[in-house]
Amino acid sequence: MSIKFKNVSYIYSPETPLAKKGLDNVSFELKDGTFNAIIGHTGSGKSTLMQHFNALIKPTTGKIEIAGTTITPETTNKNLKDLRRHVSLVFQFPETQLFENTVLDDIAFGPKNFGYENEKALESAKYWLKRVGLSEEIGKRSPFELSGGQMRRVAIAGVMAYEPDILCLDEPAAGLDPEARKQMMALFSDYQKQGHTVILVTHNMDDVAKYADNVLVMEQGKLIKQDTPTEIFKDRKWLQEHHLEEPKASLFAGKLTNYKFTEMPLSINNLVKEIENNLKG
Amino acid sequence: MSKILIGRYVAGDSIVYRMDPRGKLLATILFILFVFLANNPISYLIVTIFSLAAVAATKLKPKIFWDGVKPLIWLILFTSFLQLFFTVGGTVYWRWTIFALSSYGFTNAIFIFIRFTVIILISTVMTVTTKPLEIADAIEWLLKPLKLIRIPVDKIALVMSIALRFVPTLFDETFKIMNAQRSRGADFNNGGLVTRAKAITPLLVPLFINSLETAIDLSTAMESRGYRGDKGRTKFRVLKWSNVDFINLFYFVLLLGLLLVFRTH
Amino acid sequence: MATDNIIKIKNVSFSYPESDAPAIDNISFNVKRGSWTSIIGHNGSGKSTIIRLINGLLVPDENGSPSIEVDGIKLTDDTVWEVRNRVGIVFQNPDNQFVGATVADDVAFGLENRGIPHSEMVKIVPEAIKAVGMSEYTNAEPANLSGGQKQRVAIAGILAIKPKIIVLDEATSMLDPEGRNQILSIVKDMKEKYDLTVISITHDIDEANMADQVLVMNDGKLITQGSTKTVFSQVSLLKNIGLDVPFFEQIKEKLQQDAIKLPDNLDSEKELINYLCQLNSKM
Repeated sequence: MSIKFKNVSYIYSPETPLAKKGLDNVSFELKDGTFNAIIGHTGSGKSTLMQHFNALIKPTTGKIEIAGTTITPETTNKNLKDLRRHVSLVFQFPETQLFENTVLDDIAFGPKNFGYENEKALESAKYWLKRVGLSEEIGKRSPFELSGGQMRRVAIAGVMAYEPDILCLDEPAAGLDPEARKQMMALFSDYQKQGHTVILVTHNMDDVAKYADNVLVMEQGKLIKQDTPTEIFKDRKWLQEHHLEEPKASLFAGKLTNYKFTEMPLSINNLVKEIENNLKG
Repeated sequence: MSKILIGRYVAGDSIVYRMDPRGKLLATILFILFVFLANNPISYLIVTIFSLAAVAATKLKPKIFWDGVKPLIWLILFTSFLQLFFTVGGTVYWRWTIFALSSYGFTNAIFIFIRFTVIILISTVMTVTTKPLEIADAIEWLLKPLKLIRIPVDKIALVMSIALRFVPTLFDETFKIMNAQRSRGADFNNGGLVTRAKAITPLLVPLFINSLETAIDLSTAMESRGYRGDKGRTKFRVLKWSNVDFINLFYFVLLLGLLLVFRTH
Repeated sequence: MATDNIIKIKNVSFSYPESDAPAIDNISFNVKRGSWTSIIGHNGSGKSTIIRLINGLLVPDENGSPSIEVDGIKLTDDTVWEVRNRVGIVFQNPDNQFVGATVADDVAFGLENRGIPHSEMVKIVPEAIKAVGMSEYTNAEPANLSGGQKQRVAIAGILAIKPKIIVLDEATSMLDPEGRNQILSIVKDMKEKYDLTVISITHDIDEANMADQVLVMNDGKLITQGSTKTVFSQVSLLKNIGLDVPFFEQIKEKLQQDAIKLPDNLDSEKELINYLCQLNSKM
């Protein structure tokens, strides 16, 4: 039941002068229950790749197997509901998708679409409202009375309320303050630990280092590397060649020129430990 | 859909592209008026040659113009057929109850067909060679006399240009929200009329709210950047007449002259 | 002249009409001419409200005889446009401040509003566009620009009116790291070149760390202010109100917890790294 991409290419506006390769022969496999990060520059194909996961975009050539569905260039827009119930996408700034009269109704919109009974949908909405750190009282309010940060939480609750097996997120913490960012990332990490697959599109290398089991690096529509964060961030020269940032800890470690590191530290705790080991000789 | 709203501008380079939008707008309006002067085969031939010359001057592929005519082709044919069967006069070839085929019918049908087609061709020449913003500038210039009766033409023009500027942004936003709601299980493609009308609420509400927010942000930004109404405002974007425009207008005067001479009095 | 205060805020409070708690609660501070000031605080702490008060988009509550002075001008109904000539703001959302149909039109917007003659505009606009490195996009439409490019255009539009103060109101928060770095380096250059005063409202701790002075807001109150050194060394205070601390301060804290003695004067990442390297070579 893992996610498999086989030779997937996608061309924007084919057969016109504006034709552009969005994805170029991408193949990979993601294991169930893992936390995956997709990194790369703006325009490298990350978002295009993400929209393939629930068939918002269908490949021009190639094949995708995901959550029991096979997506090919011939896949039609009908009968995609089952796929989308299992594979959920959260776009950047998802607070712009809120529309219902009350917060609870908005969170329940997805579950209802996917066949939950009214009561069960609201029950699930209440549960997820709490999970994203909002009080029950907020559930009765209009989503448009809330602060930007609260709206973001409501939007994310709305996508998690039908508990998709695979949760894909595009920069879910962009523009949030540091504390809210931490809470948000902890929520996704917990969700993964409960047995779901999480796919995170991000520029934040500290989050990648901290949470991901597996990293996909995109460049100009191609998948140029897939590996664990440790392996990806080990090769400083390669990162610089591809203009990718480093996590703060390894960046700092790199500046300690006369230190020896047994392993490239990716977290502050490991960094401090390594510094102390060096000092103790 | 997007083509109708954003306009049909096609990038290109020819003398028509270098003309002042005001000249083009004026010429288009004049042409539409002049076409009604044509009333015999030779005057219709003149307007046809004239519009084909304009099409040729754009140096664009004929397909682009065909795309302009295509959506209206049934309307044109239908109107022509009405003329064909309902006009009475001249030699009558065939008659059945209220329908008749007559020589007048034939010529009128052909005239109507030509009239429609050349008007669409000339408007297409204007819209494919002129950016929407330039058209807006030209309309502003044309409306200028209305300032005398205190219509805020400058404000209307600014609103038009901001509206045009936000059309692509709005489209992006629409696609983004559609995709987000699709991911939440919304279905915009299936079901009857009522189901579809209902399905559109999750799209329209966010679009409306976001546009409102954009408008508030924009007005804050405009005020911060010193916008305080039209008073004392200068304009960066200025249009300049050139020789090409005078030659262009001269052609239209020539057209008027030819039509006046050759039409049946 | 070089060390006077370009902004003087005294006893300023502000409440939004529909809310009972003040968004800004009796704040006073000064900003030195030619300095860089960062304002930090979590979402809704009142950071952006301060900026809207400084350029007269909002009017302070009347209690406590508030006063706002910008470049020697006391802000009143009559002077608000003079003040706005001196303050340029780059807002958060790149799309929602792009007024013009093209890059050049947008940069000209502020000049048009001030009635600058056309002959001068055609000189100023390309210069401002060049200063932010966008010359090849002069006639580009906003739909074809990235967020970072739009923010560069916003900066050009501000430079065109030759302000004294440039404000970044979370201007980099919607950008990718590349766009963010570009904007910050442009603002840094412009500050030197045109002797500007910079105020940046931000969540980004590295951006905040570029400042000479940091103001920390929480629930409408100014809870601490001072140099980056004094503010960011208050690690526990910042953590308590949910704010980030520069990375090197976090390392210092952890090393000290593990009984590694560090001198008090390690005030930047560079100093910490130098010290740690020295320490290691001695062993």
